[in-house]
Parts: sequence; C-alpha cells; structure tokens
Amino acid sequence: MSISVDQPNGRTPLIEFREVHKHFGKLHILRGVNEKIMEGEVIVILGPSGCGKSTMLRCINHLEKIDGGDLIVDGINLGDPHANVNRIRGETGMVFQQFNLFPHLSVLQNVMLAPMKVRGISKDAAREKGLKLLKRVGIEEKADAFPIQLSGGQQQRVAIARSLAMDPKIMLFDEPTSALDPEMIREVLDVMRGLAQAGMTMAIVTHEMAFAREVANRVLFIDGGKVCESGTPAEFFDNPKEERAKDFLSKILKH
Amino acid sequence: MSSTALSADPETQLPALHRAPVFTFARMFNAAGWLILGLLVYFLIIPAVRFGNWSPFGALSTWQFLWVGLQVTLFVAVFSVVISTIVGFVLALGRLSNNKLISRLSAGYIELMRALPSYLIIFYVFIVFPKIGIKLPSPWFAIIGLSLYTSAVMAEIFRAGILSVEKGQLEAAYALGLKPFDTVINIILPQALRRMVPSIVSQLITLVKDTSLASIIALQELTAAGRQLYEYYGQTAGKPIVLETLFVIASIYFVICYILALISNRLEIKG
Amino acid sequence: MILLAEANAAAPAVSDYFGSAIVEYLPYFLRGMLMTINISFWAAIVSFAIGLVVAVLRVTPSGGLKVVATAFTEFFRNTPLYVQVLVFYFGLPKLGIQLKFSFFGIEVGDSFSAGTLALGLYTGAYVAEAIRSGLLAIPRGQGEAARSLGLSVLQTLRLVVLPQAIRLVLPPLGNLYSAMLKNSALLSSIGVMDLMFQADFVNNRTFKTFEVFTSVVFFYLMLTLPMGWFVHWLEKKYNPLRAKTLRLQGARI
Ligand SMILES: Nc1ncnc2c1ncn2[C@@H]1O[C@H](COP(=O)(O)OP(=O)(O)OP(=O)(O)O)[C@@H](O)[C@H]1O
Ligand SMILES: [Mg+2]
Repeated sequence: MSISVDQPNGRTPLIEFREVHKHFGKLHILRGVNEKIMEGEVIVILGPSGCGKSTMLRCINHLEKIDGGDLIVDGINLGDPHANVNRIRGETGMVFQQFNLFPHLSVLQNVMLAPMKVRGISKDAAREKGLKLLKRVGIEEKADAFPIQLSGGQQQRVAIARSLAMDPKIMLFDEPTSALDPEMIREVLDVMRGLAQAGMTMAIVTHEMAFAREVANRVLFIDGGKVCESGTPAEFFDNPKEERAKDFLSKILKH
Repeated sequence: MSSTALSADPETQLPALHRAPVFTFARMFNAAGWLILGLLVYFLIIPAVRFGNWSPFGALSTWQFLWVGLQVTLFVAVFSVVISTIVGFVLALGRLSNNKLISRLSAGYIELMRALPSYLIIFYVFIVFPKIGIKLPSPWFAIIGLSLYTSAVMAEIFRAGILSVEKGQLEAAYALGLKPFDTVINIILPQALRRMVPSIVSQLITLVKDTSLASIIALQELTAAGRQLYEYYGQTAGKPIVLETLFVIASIYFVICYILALISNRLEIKG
Repeated sequence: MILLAEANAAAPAVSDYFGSAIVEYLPYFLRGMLMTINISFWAAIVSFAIGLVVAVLRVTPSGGLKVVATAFTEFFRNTPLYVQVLVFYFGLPKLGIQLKFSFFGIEVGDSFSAGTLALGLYTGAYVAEAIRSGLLAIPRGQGEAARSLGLSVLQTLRLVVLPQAIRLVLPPLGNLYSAMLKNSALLSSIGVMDLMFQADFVNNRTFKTFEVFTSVVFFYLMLTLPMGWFVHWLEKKYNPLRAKTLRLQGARI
C-alpha cells in the first residue's frame, strides 16, 4: 500500500481512519476522524465524557458500523459492506470496562472458547494455550474457578487472557480499570505494561494519567467528534497546544 | 408513633397492617376467614362426603379406566412440550434474525397463534385436517393442535430469555470473532436456558390442562374417561356420580399440576 | 332462522361462491361475537372483584382467610378450566342455583351463569396472583417513607402503594383478560351460544368446514388483536423503561 511509504519509521499503519463518521440517530458522534495507528504503537485516547472514545474503539472491531468514510483495519476496509468482519474481530482483541466474562464457563473455558470455535484448534492445544496465557496474566491457579468467584482485578486479567488467546494484532482497551477498586488497578496495569513492552499494538481509553504518560507512544485527544490533538505524552501533558486540551487537562489534573 | 408501626412485614414487604394501631379489622378478617372455611366445610364437603356416591371409586376397574385416559393426557402433553420447544426455538431465532423476511414471517406466525383461542386451534386441526385428507390417530391431532399454539408461546419464552442475556456478553463474543451461531449455542443459550426453565415448566402445566380441550372434540384422555364414567353410571346403574367423578378428575389434574408448579418454583428460586 | 332458510331456497345461485356460507350466516356469527363479548365482560367483572379481594387477603397476615385465599388460587390455577366449567354446570343446579332470565334480549340460562362463574373464578385466581406480585414488588422503603411522613396505613396503601402497584399490574392484567376472552371459546361446549358455538352450528348446517372455521379465525382476530395492541400500549405507557432496555438490548442475532 502506498500509505506505508509516508511513514518515517517505515512501519505500516495497522489501522487507518479516513474521514470516519458515526451517528447514533440524530447524534453525530464522530465527525470526520483521521488517524493512523502503526504496528507496535501504544496509543492512549483521552477526551471528555461522551466525546466518542468508546465509539472509536468499537468501530475498530465493528461492534459499531461506521456510516461515512473509510476505516481500514489490517488491510480490510470496514466502510465496505462486503468486508470480512469476522476476520477483523478475530484479530482485534477487546477488553471491556465491565469485563463481560461468560459467567457459565470456568476461567479456562472462557479463554479456550474462541480459539476452538473460531480458529478451530483442538481442545488440547486450546487448553495448553489457555494455561500459558493465564500464567502470563498471573492467574493460572484460578483456571477452574468461575468468574463470579474472582475479584474484579482477577476477572479483568482473565478477560485480557481471553482476548490474547486469539493472537490479536491489536488490543483495544475501553476503560479497563474504571470498574475496579484502587488496589486492583495496579495488577491490571502491570499486565498491560507487560504487553506494551512485548511490542503489542494497543489502543487504550483510560483515566490513569500516570500510566498513560509512562506507556503511551502517542496520546490522542478527542473533542467535537474529531482528533483534536495528537502528540507524545510529554508534549501533550506538559505543553498542550489546543485550548480544549488545556481545559481538559486542568480539570483532570486538579485532583 | 411507635417504631413497630413503621416497620414492615418481612414476608410481604408491605407496611405491617396487623401491627398498625389504626387497623383493627385484622381480627375480624381472621374470624371471617375461619367462618368462611367452616361454612365451606359444612355446606359443601360434609354433604359431599355423606350424600355422595363414592362406591364406584372403591373398584380397581374404575381406576384402571381412568389410568388409560391419564396415560393419553401425559403422552399428548409431553410430546407437545418437546415438539413445541424445538419449533419454538427455531421460531425465536427466526424472529430475532437479521433477515427481514424470516423475521416477519416468524413474528406473524407467533402473533397469529397467540391471538387465537387454543380451543379454536385444536378444533380446527380436528375438523379441518381430515377434510383436506390428513388422517392421523386422534392423539396426534391433539399434539399438532397444541403444538401449533404452544410453539408460539415457547418462541416468546426463548426470545425473552435470549434478550435477557446482557448486551456485554454478545459484544464480548463478537469481539472474539465468534460467529452468530456459535454465540447462540455457547454463550447465550446456556445462560438463557437457566432463566427459561421455570417458564417452560409452567407451559407444561398449561399443556396438561389444555389436553382436556381436545376431549371436547374427540380425544380419549382423562377428562373424556371421566365423562364416560359418569355417563355410564348415570344410564346403566341409575346412580349419578357426575360431581364425584369431576372431583376425582380435578384432584388428579391438581396433583400433577401442583407438583410441576412446585418444581417450577424451586427452579425459579435457584436460577 | 326460518326466514333465512326461505331466502336461501329462493336464491340458490348465491350460495355457491366461496364464502357464501359466511355471508349467508353472518347474523349468526355476529350474534356469536356479541355473546363472546358479553360473557367475557361479566367474567371480567367477577374475576377482578375476586382477584382483588384474594390478592389483598393473601398479603394481609390474617390466618383463616389467607388459607382460603391460597387454597382458592392453587385449586383454580392447577385444574383445567374445562373441568371447572363442568363442575359449575352440573354443580350449580345441585346447590339449587338455577338462573334463567333475559338479558338485553339474550336468554341467560344455566350455561351462561355456569360459564361466567367458572371463567370468572379461573381468571380471578390469575388476577389475584398478578395483583399480589404487583403489591410485593413495591420496595419496602416506599411504605416506610409514607408511614414516617405520618400517612395512615390505608392512606399509604391508597396513595403510595396501590398507585405504584397498578402501573406494574396493568400490563399483566391486560394479558390475562386477553387470554380470558380466548378461553371463553370453550364455553360453547356447555351450550353458551358464542362465536365458537355458532361456528359449529353453521358448519353442521352447511358442511363448509374450511370456510367456516377460517372465517371464525378472522372473527376472533377482530376481537383479540385490538386487545393485544391495547396491552402493548399499556406496557409502553407504564413500563417505558423496560420497553426501552429491551429495545436497546435489541440483541439481533
Ligand atoms: N448505542 C447507542 N445508542 C445511542 N447513543 C449512543 C450509543 N452508544 C453511545 N451513544 C452516545 O454516543 C456518545 C458517545 O459515546 P461514547 O461511549 O463513545 O463516549 P465516551 O467518550 O466513551 O464517553 P465515556 O467517557 O463516558 O465512556 C454519548 O453521548 C452516548 O450517549
Ligand atoms: Mg466510554
């Protein structure tokens, strides 16, 4: 693709928004978003409540349909009605604020399900992979427990392992720690930090500013349905250019 | 006002009527209750026992005769519930389908069946089917008639169960790339089924009761057996036992349905 | 009847096209429909009265009546309506209750009173359960708050608990009455001359089975569909939140 040539570091964009629009009825939420996310990049998305951060993530793995523009994910244009949506979903992992673990399946079964059903790998292979991933998120001893028996932090780590089991090319996190008690936030952030260090492409919506500053390669500030400002954490946090970004930062950094 | 007057009855969660100072009817209510109970016993139950003709129910053959009818009742009810569950599931998926035509057709069928008297549907099957050349043993006509109607109810039970599964569950499944069919089988149904089992058992109760509708037309089940019993005794033996027989029949239905109701309640509390 | 038969004999050509039996016997069907409405109306009144009383008795902790009320609902809900209809049909005369009078030009006999009572009590048992669960669904804090504001028990019931309960109960009640109208069809078996009865009658006269029963389907739809729409409207009006969540969830698969 020609776009890759434009990139100074030579990496290809994994995700590209071109004039993406999204409405909910009369509400015009995304108003022409343009953005590229490169392979290996860790992006943190910030913005006031209701500005469309979740919507942006949800468009990427097609939980929401875009209604204008092009959204190219791993070479597939989601603006095209004939796009192979299931392939994209398999390659983009998503972690929800509310975990959304399957309550009727054990922890290990939660992780094994998609590889078996979508990728068609054998039960033994899925189990082996599942246990490895549970170990990676530090929760292998709970493999046979049911979600309801776990703390929020443990549940969220299982949810991360469940997404990783599909070997996604990008992980999307929508406020993964917002439903957690403070003492559990760290264990989830640690897992995410580990992923970032291992080179995973990630797009994260979070209110954890210290974490954002530490792991992000780039911060996107969304307002008015557009990417209002984009830059390194240092640029953005210490020296925001846009008025609205300054305003936003002054509000959240106050406490 | 004393603090007891403000507290609520733990069982009913209503203001505690019996402890409230203004409410002095409570004892009258109570007394009236026992009075009515006494009147019922005195005017209905005692005369029924004393003047009723219960001797036919001392004979084993009477019970054997009723047992044959009861078997038909249970056969029809069980087959109808199985068939309706399967058909109802398909209809529910159809109604939830993204395909407009399938969705409309399923919804149309469900709404039509739910808008008609079950007696009319059974009647229709028994009367119209033979006229257009379909010949079957009468239990199967009853099963078809009951299933036509019950599958529509089952479809709505399934649909409500499926819709009751949180949206996040669907999104998580889709985000993992599961296909709609796999999502239904592995994620939605296991969660929805638990919530639906009590409703399905309730529907089985309705079916057991509704089999009696088919007896009005042609089905030889429990109620029909009872009717034949009292008609026979009324004509040949000159001993009318209509109400006695109806009492026995009603008791049999009651025992079956009440047990099913208890099961349904138990499942509801657990689930 | 005789007039119709003569008209029929005088113009035999008319009775050949599809649906002719229906047109010819339309007055019968209409009379049947009126009877269905009539008996449903009286059964509805019986069932609401009995349902309200039984529901209040079941949530009021008073021994004797609670036993009677519970026995009533359990018996009537767990035996077939048809058996109950037979019990009333044969039992009322035994108790010396024999009703025969004319009502708006309709002969009301044993079958009508037995049918109204059976249908009314059967439905009443369900009405009682619907009202009871509505009463139980009101959070305890509502009663407590009202009482602590100084309202009396009856005021609490009338001003706080019942208005909330009615919102919860109206949609299920609508469903029950719609079901009751459908259940009234089986009263034709004891001789209530309702829509179903007339259908059977016309069928036996004309042998146009398919036409007769298919049109009866439409006659019943004319009665039940508007009721269904009304219930749906009630749901939306009194339970908009639930209707909305259902729509939002709208899990299309
Ligand atoms: N399914 C939907 N139907 C209608 N409106 C929606 C839907 N989903 C989101 N919205 C609206 O779109 C807007 C953006 O929602 P979104 O969840 O993307 O915001 P957000 O930036 O993630 O906010 P928050 O920080 O509160 O999570 C909000 O006003 C929301 O009410
Ligand atoms: Mg959000």
